[in-house]
Amino acid sequence: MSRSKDETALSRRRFLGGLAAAAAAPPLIALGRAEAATARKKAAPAKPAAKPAAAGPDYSVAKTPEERTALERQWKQTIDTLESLRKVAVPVGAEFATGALAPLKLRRGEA
Amino acid sequence: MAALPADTLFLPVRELGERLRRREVTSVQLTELALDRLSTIGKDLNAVATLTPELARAQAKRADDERKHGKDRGPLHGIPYGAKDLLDTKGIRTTWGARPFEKRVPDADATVVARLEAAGAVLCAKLSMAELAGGLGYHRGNASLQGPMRNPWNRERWAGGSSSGTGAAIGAGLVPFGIGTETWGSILCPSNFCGVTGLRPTYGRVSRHGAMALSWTLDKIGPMGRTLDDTRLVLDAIAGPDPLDAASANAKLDWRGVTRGNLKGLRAAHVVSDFAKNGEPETAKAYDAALATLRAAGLDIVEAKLPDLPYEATAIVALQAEVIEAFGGLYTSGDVRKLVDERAPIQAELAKAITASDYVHAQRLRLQAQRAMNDFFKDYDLIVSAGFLKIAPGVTEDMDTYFSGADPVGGMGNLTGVPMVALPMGAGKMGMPVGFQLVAPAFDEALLVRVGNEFQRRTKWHLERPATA
Repeated sequence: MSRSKDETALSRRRFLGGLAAAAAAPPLIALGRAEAATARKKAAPAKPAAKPAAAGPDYSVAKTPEERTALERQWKQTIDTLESLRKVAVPVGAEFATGALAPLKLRRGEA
Repeated sequence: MAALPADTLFLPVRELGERLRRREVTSVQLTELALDRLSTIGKDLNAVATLTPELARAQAKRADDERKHGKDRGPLHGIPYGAKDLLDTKGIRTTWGARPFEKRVPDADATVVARLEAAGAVLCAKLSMAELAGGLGYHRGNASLQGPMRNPWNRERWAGGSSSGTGAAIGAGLVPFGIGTETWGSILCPSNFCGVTGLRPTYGRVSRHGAMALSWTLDKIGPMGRTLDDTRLVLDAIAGPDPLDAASANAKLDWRGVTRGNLKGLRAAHVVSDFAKNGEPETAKAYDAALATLRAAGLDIVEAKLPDLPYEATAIVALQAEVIEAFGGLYTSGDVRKLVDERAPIQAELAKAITASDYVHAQRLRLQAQRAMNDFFKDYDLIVSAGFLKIAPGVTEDMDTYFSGADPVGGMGNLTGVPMVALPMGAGKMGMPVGFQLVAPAFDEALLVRVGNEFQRRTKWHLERPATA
């Protein structure tokens, strides 16, 4: 999926820091393919719940025109990211994960 | 004993340790040299948050005394180091690189700091960092309480972040190793830009107790040094379960086979970067040479694409929700306005768009990504990819303008918690260092060390020194 320069720059910016601030809009992925990649699932994927669109930010926090511009741009990117992610289904009963998941067996050069 | 040559601290940890054991040098000498260089070159680079001379001299004297009495704590015994200024040190200022915390003095050591003390290492300085490790964003290399984070290869360029001071101090030969942290890129980025080696361990491998929390599900601590072998020695000292970090893992480090040079039988997935669109030809050339070196060592490198999943978007949502929980108090108090980055004040507004359901959904997607990558690693032992496609930006340059291109490997690696290393691979534009990265399955740092060791045995890029240091 193509990305605007602004979006990709922001994505890279996150890479640079630890980055939480502005939301980039990374390429959103074909949902079916995502599921196919996690081939173990047997149950049909849950239909993603519809989410209400957020009302909008409080623009009074922006004290300068630059902050206002940045907030407008980043808010739109955040919403775009969220809306695209909400369309990505997960299998019914899929668990919540945080840390790393060790593979059952390391490949170690096996053909 | 005569004064040590000024470049002594460019030597790898393993070699310094051997010299200590042969009594050719003392820990006190190494420590005095480190303190001198940190207080001069380090200050010039803005790499130092706080020097710790009293502690360092006491630890160095103890190391020398113990050695005289036949006690050897291992390969780090008597070796100077620096720690990113988000690791708590008892009675020593720990600022998180941010003005609202400039007077913060912890009353206990972080687990990592305590473990390094137990291993006999000598803490010489707390090293500078991007404010709050970039938690509330930053888009210039000057966003730190310590000022512009300068690169030892060119002071007008950025050292990388957010473990900026750690990268700069090792790159300038001020300390032989240091501790960095990474939520997304903060070990690998300064390693690439400063020409040093970084090992970002598996999530949970190293306890975060006593470290600033930015994102509980993404934060990791890891070593940076001159060689990958050095980072292995440090990881050995700091890894392991810790009841004080609920996320710390029990998995053991298994270094068997890491010295096997022949890489035949190993297959690497090469995730290709678009240098023509986003990179610099000098970096592309260095990367091609690195791939050729790995192939010559026997590594089978095959172009491949990562499983098609929204790694970056998922990580961003998790991160953005957690970071506002971590630093929400700065908005309540108004202290967010004390940060250097002028966009920090608006970040809390953005997080308001994320619902609880969004956050949980992201963490469920994370498991899908982890499973998909474990499937991927059934076909490939590891992943090789370019690091940054360009050299470090100017220290006050707008990164949003300078960088373009996504970071799928970094996004995947941090979302799924798998280990990664950054290795120097040569000189880019203006003679600045450039590097590449390797990625392995969770808890398989040993494979990264095996492959990276062989690369570093065949090249000398990791031993290059900046003329200005």
